[in-house]
Amino acid sequence: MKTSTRKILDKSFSALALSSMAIMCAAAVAFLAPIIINGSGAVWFKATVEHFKFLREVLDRGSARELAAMTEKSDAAREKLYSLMRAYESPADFKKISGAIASARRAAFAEAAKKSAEFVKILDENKGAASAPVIKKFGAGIFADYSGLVSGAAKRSSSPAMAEFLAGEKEALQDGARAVLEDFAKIRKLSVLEKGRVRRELPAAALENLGAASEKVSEDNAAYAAFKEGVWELLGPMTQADKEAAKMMRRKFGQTRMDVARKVLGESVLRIRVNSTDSSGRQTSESVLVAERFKGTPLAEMAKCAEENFTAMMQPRNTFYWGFLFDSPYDSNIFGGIFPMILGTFYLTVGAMIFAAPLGIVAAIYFSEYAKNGRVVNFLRMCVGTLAGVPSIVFGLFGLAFLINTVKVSESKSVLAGSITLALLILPTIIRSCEEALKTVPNSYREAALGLGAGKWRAICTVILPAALPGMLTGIIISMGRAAGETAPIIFTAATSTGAAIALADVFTEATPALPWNIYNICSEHEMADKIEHVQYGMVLTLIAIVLLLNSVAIVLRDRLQKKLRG
Amino acid sequence: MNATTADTGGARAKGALIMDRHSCAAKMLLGRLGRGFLLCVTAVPTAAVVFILFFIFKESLPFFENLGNVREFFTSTNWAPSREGDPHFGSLAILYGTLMVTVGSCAVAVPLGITAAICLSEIVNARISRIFRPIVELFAAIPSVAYGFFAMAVFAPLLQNHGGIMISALILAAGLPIAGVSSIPLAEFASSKIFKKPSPAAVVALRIFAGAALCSAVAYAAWRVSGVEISSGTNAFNASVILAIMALPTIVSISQDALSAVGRDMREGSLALGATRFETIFKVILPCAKSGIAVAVILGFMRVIGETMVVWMASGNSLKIPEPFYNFFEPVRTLTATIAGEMGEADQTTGSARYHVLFAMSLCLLVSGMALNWLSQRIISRGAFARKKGGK
Repeated sequence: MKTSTRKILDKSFSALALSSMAIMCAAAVAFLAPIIINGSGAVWFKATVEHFKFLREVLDRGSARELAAMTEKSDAAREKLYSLMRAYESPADFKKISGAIASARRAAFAEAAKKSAEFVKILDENKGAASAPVIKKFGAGIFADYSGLVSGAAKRSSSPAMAEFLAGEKEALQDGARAVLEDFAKIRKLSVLEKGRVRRELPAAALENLGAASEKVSEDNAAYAAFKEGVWELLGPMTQADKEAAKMMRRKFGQTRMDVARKVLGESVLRIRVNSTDSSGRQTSESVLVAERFKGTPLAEMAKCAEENFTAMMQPRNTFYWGFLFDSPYDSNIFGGIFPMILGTFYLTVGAMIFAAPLGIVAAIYFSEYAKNGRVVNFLRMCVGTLAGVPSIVFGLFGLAFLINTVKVSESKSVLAGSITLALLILPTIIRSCEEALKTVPNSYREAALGLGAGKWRAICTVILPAALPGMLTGIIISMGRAAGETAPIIFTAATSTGAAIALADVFTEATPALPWNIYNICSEHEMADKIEHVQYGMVLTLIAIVLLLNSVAIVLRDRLQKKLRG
Repeated sequence: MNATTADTGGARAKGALIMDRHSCAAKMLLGRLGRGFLLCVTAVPTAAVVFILFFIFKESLPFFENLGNVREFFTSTNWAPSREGDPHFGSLAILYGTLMVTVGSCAVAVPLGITAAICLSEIVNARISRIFRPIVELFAAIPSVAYGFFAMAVFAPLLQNHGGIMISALILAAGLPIAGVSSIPLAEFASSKIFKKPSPAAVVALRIFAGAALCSAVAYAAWRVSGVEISSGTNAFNASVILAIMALPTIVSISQDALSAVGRDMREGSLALGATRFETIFKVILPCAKSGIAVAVILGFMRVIGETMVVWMASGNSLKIPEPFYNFFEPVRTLTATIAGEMGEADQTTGSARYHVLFAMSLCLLVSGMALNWLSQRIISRGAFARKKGGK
């Protein structure tokens, strides 16, 4: 091969190797950046007035006066929307319109009675089934005014009351048709068949029109109900009575965060889901833009009002919510913080340390100070290696089968069982790192201690251990980080997804929420996972922060130790 | 005490100095007891291993008692362990998913990890290496559930919406430079085979031809991939990539140790003979460090097989073997995810058929983990690291 080729290969391989490092750095940034950015959003965010209401009413925190000022401003803005909604629900001209419709109906039947002679003539001219369309046409003529009024009402003033009124109208029409039969019977006795036909066909055209109108009204009402639901989700209950009747906390308050509120505005207020029937007759539900689909109706006006007054209604302001770390969660993490999970992780980590650290240190002392290379010691060492190679989920199953189902350290999952399982998991790491730390203690220390007449045990306790302590601590702290972050071993032994913190006295019997497990749970099994992204990111960031904090403490400790050894 | 005994007379003074027989025996006994205690504590990991093996085996025994079950376990894909009266335990799809994810992640992690290790130990200087090392350690420290979350919340939507474009861009970015560079030695090799005395023009022509062919092959692959529709962002590819990131720290740090254990004399000898750094690395250092690197790969492999949360959250948990079998953009399911996901609250105490089959799965994991561990121990004791002492 030519020298130039070899040089090119050499250079390009260097570039390749450097780019692999660059890829790893890029991966670190790509991984940490979204988690840090979104996770900090759990603590520092644009809060709406609902957030401060929640703090004031549930946690008794924050200034009542400031809240009152904010509430006043937002209520003023909300009132515009609410007045539109109230106007829809109980329209002012409902009485007038319904009265007009009712009187038109009465007038139509009176006219039918008046024209009874003419009508009977029609019946005489068209015998049998042929009479049906003629009767219908006659009815359509009489009910023309009435139908016009009904269609007009459906177009302009649909409301729940109107839907009810139109349902009543249907019965009134049928009753009226039955009553008008008697007027016809005065002219000539009608046969049973004829009676039935007249009763059916006379109001048929009006009924059809009425049916179309009430369908339109009920569609409008369904759309309005969806819109109202969206507004409730966004702003919270409209009235105090609604608030008291609401059971779940998410129904008592609106959106507490501006980013989620904007999402809810876009998805559930400006767009709503309506049911429709597709070409093959299946019922489908689609999301439609209110301003387009309901153009010119009161609903579109409401949507416009909601969009225009959105900021005023929510009263956003930037806040630090430290309570995210120190508050309990409310209504499955939709409100409040993640304190129980942090506490649970703390219990489990400390518990694992209580079991693993002494065992690990003692085993390390044995391996480094006492053990001679023999078959037994080699076997013991091999077992430490094997234990390190056991998959973490197998530890979880072992904890379940042995600690809970066989030894019964507790009735079911408990912090104790989880701690022991985690302790077994991190034991090999602790043993190895402690052994390394003991090995770095120079032999001269040992010889000096023994030379001064100390026994072996005394030399270990007073000279070797203190010298190795920083190194051991480094290993132990790194293992703590590992224990804090492990999920698989605690799934079957300690973790629960309910959000209540447990007292220190309950650690022997109770399962606890813990950060790693709850991160999984809140991401995969939460009913409203897309609305609480900030909690998910916040939890992940908290866990990573805890672990990295422990690791950086360990690294600082190690650096100091190295300096001390060098200097 | 010494002072008083010295006053009282010779014989007693002598006894106090070398201690009388009783206290000597007591001390010996105490020492023995102490050692025994230390040994007992040291045996805890051993006891744990024995207990783990015993209990996992005991709980999976009811499943293995029925040989038909075992055959079904390894040959069928019909997985319905809790169906009333007619349970099925076909885990072929699950085993295949595990294999797929493991192979996929190793395909990403091994080249990347070894090159990164070479870079850290051979190419950059010690100071930069000290800066990079914590980044690698950072990957090891981050909890697996955080990786799983990232895979699910960030990577999966990205993959689902822009997956084809992203991967084809990656292929182009990585493939074109490699194709360009590798065309040079390829052309030289080919020309030396074809012509007896290659003229420079012929070499250049061959080089252009080889470069164009390789680049167009890369471009074609990228074009094919860019058209792939990824129906679900949580799939084998996603899990493989994230698992690869998790396995990287293990591979990098152990390979780096193995590489730096190769003696200075080797390097200097090779360089003095006129080899370039590239040749030194490939022909001298890598062969010397190969068993250490093999251990690194095995340990990375072990981490991937035993990992639970990432595959549970990122692999899509589908009970089908992908169509075609090498399609990494299909959701799969692994042993660990099955164990974590299927061990319901009810099963944990009653000991149903599902309970036992899940323990059988964990026995598979345990056995493969132990086998790999044993293999790595064998390689280590064969003396790859023995050179560390001898070489320096």
